[in-house]
Amino acid sequence: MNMTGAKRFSKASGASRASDTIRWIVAAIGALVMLFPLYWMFATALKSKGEVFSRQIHLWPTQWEWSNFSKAWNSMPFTHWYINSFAIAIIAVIITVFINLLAGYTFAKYKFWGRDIIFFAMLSTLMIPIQAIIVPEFLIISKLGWVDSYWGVVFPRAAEAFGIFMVRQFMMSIPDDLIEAARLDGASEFTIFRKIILPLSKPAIAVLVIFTFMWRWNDFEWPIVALQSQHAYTVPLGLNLMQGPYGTNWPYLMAMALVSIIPILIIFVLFQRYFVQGIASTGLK
Amino acid sequence: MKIFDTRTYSRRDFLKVSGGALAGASALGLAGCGGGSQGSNGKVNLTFFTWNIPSDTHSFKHLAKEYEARHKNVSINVQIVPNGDFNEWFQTRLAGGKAPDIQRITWQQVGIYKSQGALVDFSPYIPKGYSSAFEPQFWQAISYKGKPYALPHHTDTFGVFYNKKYFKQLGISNFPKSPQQGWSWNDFTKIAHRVKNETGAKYAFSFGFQGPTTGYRWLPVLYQHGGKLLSNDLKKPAIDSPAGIEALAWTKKWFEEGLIPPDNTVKQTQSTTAADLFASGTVGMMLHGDWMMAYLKDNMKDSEWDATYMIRDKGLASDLGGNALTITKDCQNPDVAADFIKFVVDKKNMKYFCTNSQFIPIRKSLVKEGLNYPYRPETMNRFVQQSKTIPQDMVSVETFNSFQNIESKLEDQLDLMFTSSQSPEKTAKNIASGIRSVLSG
Amino acid sequence: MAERPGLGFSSRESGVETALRQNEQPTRSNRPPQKQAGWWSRHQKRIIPYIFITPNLLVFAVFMFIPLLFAFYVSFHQWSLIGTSQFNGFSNYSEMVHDHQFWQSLRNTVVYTIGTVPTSMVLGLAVALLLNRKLPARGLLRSIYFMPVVISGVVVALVGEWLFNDNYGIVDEVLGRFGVGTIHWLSSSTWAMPTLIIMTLWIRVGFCMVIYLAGLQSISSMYYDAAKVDGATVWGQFRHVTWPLLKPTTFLILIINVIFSFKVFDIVYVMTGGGPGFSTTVLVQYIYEQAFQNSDLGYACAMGVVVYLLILIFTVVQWRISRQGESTY
Repeated sequence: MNMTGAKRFSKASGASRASDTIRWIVAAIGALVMLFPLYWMFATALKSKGEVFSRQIHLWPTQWEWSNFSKAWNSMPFTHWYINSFAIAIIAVIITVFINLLAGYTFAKYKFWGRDIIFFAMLSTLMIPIQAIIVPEFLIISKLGWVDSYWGVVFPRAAEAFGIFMVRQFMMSIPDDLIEAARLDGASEFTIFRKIILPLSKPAIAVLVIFTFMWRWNDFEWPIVALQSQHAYTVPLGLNLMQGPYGTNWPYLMAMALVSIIPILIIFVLFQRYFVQGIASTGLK
Repeated sequence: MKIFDTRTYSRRDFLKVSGGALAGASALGLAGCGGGSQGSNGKVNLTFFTWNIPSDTHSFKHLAKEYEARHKNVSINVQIVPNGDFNEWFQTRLAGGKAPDIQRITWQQVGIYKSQGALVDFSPYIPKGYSSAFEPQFWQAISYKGKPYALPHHTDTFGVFYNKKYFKQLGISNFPKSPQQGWSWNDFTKIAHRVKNETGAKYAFSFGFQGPTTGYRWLPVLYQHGGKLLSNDLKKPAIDSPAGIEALAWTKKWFEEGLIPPDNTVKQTQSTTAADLFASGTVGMMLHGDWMMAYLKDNMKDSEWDATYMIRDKGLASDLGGNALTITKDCQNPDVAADFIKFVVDKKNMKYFCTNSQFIPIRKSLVKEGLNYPYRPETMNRFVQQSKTIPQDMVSVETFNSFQNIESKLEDQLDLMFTSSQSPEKTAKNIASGIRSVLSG
Repeated sequence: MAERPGLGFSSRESGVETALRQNEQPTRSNRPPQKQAGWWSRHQKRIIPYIFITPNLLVFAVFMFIPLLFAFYVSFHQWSLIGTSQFNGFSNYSEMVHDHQFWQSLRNTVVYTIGTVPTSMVLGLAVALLLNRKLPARGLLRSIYFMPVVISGVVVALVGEWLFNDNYGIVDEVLGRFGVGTIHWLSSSTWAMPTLIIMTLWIRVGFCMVIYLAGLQSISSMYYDAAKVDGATVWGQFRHVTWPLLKPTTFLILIINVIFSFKVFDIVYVMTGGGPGFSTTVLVQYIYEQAFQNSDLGYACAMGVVVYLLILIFTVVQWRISRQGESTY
């Protein structure tokens, strides 16, 4: 393994230790600024509606209304929406990781007719503003009978060029000799992928899992078109419904917005070990 | 030429594609259309979309249950249109052949859809003379080339809500006794300044024109002053007149003099609504519709507020609010849907809905009898009286086919004038040229 | 595992190397039995790539390429979504030239992009450099910076609306305590765009940081040791080692950020609705308005095509420049 920057500075002198202190303070102040909006969500979630709209703004809630969380949760079918969101995110992660690993590997390690043009065409879809294609996409899923179904949300978003790009960059760093050696041993192409490439791809998989989960969990613009009835809604659509047309219960909304972040944070913590390493090894070159 | 004529997809093609793999609600709905009547299990499923207003949803669900009890083979699924832009939601669905069977729709929205074949003509489903039971201006609103494309359901209108505590502080206890005696622009401006300066309110009043496609609610101000948005034949813009410019200038003054919160503009989204500003006492008055009473009921003490008649100037004018119920072209059982809508708008059920959700009925008989509103009947009856002051020429403009496109120009320019230094003259000119481009295109 | 030549030279391969170590089964033990050289095994290497990309190709074709072609086709028509459509040649495109709202939206989009991209990259790099050292609670600090990244655009916008609210917002309250007068963040055409940019930075800085951190960790310490031997200062090390070696990372972050910023919609839509006036109407918001509020899908699609091409051109040009840069080093 390479020495990381951190290791390099572990034997720092006294002078640089002083400057490290300053650096730490700067980093910590920055972190507080980053944390503040989250704190404010939390503080708002615990206030009463009356306090939220009072002319006196308190940094700290005067009364801690913990019941806001349960009341907000019960005010709408959140349990149902969480089940939908989890189902969609998990199905999307499985499909995306599988097909993107295959495609990324193929683009990195095979030469075939049309490779570069197909790769470029796929990458270029990142630049399409979704508003311009939302109508034809809806026409297609309604022809397939997928309105209101998980598939209607999952499949159109499975065309995820970021994932293919990341995997391709990662796979480029796998030495060709490894694959060639397996070929000489008579391994079939799919065996090579399954037995050699997949076990090597853990960091790339970690990055893909985190990003795919995060993007699908947070998707708004497409699901609000693809999902019609409330029982099929996902969490962000539910949060949107909490903003009533005549007034918003900010404590409830902030409480539910905070809760909606928790699953991604859990995914992040679970896969964090691989995450930075994964991004590092996905090349980015 | 048509790019995507959704009507050319036969349902059989559709079933072929989906292969029956999805046996969920959509497949059931599809199965229900083979012969145009009923599905294999003999049940007709209808989807009915309404707005995200809890008390309305509750009333509609109740009516749906009652209907289902009488017609065992029908099931009605009441759903909510997501917040945001109704048009994106509705148009995408129409294009995909997946629009709801029954849609609640405003008078302002219905124009573009009725004229473009998106809605079902009600003529075959209603007896002769059916229309005569309704107030004529609403029947006109849902008609296109002499045919009704929806049934009128209810109306509502604007008044002035006020904070009782603040008005006690000001010593104002004498409130208008009729719409004709409503506060004139001058009275209103004087009161507004006093509210701002002499009470705990930060601003004088809020106005309920925030959010997408509600800019039309400014129009009563224009019509009160004798201005017009369009000429009477609906062929030319008419706002670029002295009256129009004066109405714009007066509105702009609200912002310049700090009478209205600066974020209470047309494009400003829902962070703090006019209602929240009022309920929290940040403003002392609110120009808004009667249905806000249901919201205030839950968010403000009853003793803290009341409402009086709309402001007036050279003439009287208040907002054309309310909704119709319509059947979309994607409905497979329009006969059943029409029967259900007729059930909802019949005398008894219109009365039920209006009394429960604080709306104004539009059946002549109910208007004549008057309703016994269980919640604050006196206040509600002021709105009922006010609803008779909606100007006919404003109604024909707002229900005009191209009104949605005209309105988007109006909203852009109003917002620009409220939040920048753009003059009323320039604003009137820009709205007029926007209207011209819509009318010619 | 002796048959792993070529590993360990390039620092970028650290991930692979670790994974290889974790892969305890030697590859040779999994060797399948030798097969007879049939047609399939002779041709599989040629055919298999197509099989491998088929699933992806299928979703891209159905949900990206066909809709894109459709949008392109519609851009030559006048179509209101619910009515019939009419071919109108290039008039949607020529309309754009004369539509000053289009130009204003383009200008706003460029302002937003310039306001968000370089700032978030500089801040992200600065944080990455700070947190690449061994500092107390480094992991926690990194997590805090990264946390906003996972929040959905809608929630970010709601929080932004609430923080910067005219009447109940904490930002004005705090500034007020420092003697700064009320700023109408979201309702003045001067401040609305900066407010959008600030909220965007909140989620973008952590994103840039994470990728820069990864980039920094791939720089071998050899380079720094060499620089130190030459007596380079901290700035000199950054200038001559870190920055040049981070170029590919910088290029990637730049492209991703520009794509994000150019296509921004949800934050703007929820926080300002494009107002006050047109001061925050960005291209995608304008496309949305034209498609659904003005019922002019043809024009909306034409603008969509233009946005697509603009970003594409920017990317290709940047890519060329970065290629040239590499060859001169």
